[in-house]
Amino acid sequence: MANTRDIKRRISSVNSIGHITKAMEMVAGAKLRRAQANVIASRPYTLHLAQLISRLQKSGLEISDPLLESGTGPAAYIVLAGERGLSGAYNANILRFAQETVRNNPGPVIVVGRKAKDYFSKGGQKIIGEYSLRYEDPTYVDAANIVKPLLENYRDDIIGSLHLIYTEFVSVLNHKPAAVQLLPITGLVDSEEDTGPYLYEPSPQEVLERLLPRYLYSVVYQGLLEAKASEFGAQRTAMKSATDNANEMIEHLTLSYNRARQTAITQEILEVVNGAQALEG
Amino acid sequence: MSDKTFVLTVVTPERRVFQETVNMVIVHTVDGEMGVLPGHIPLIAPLAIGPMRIKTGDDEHKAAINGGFIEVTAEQVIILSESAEMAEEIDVVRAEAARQRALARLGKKQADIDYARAQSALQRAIVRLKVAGREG
Repeated sequence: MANTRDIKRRISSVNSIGHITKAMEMVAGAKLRRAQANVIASRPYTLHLAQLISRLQKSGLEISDPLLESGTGPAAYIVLAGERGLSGAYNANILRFAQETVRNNPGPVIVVGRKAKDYFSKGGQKIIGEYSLRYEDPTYVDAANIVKPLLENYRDDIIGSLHLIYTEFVSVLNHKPAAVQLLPITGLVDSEEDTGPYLYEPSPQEVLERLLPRYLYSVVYQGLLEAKASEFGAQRTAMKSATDNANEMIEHLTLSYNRARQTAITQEILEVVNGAQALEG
Repeated sequence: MSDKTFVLTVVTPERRVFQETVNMVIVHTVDGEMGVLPGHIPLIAPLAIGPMRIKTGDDEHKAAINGGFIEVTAEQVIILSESAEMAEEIDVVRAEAARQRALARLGKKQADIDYARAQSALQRAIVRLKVAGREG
């Protein structure tokens, strides 16, 4: 049986690990709340843009754009993963999903986040874009910077379609890897009511040309936000279970500590009694 | 001022900047300045980087709009902009710093793409300063 001093030392070290994970859990929780608010705040903008585009498409006006037509060339994938670990299975899940998706329909990838970069460069995958975002709060400008060169590639037929692979934030405890098609742009949300004809200034074609890229930026921005919220969610869950484990371990160790202490006391008493008997005898 | 009103909403990817019942809004489209009063015909137009003026009763609000779109329907006007700030939210110090930075970059004149970017950065900064009431 380990001696009491060793056990005591282990208890105190597990205890301080528990404090750290508890603190990390709370920090992740606070970040999660903010990330969640960002996700919700960004939705109306994307939705409105989608409505404007679908309305234009339904208007019967003479409009066209290469971004609406399917291209020739391999599919390309934007993969959003984390910048660092300590978030449970978050990175492993999204990267495994991304790998499967890419295997089914091979094509180059654009990696966002250090974990995605490490994963795909090890796998020998062709990487045509590489981004590392600040740890928190991705911005709309980040999203635009990622998408802009890809629009050029699409227009030049270097890539034939574009997909976004990210972690969808369903709820705090439920995040699942998802892939959405960005290019060609199809299947936009319909506006419910028919609002009648619009006047497009300066021309429907020009309005469309300005709408489409901005719509894509906002979809990717939304993806960045959802991925971030999922990451913080996963991080909080991971830290919570680490804290729970630490507490459980402390319970076990305390039990062994008490047992060891009891054994030591019994031993001592025995020695005293034996000593006394030896003197009497 | 007429008592007719419409609901004006300003939305950016980050948040909803403004939503109120107003009498009139004046924006800068790519074709020039445009005033929208209640009962305007339905219209969609791209916006330039420029100031926006909102009139509500005797009040007037100002905002800096960094491009985007204006959508006018029978009941409401929606402005979708990549970024927008109400006059009182503008960080004058930051805008001034951005103006200086853009001017410095324009002075150097490197590749064309940098040039275009610096130019629009300069314009954004000037609009912000103007809206905040500090002409650059």
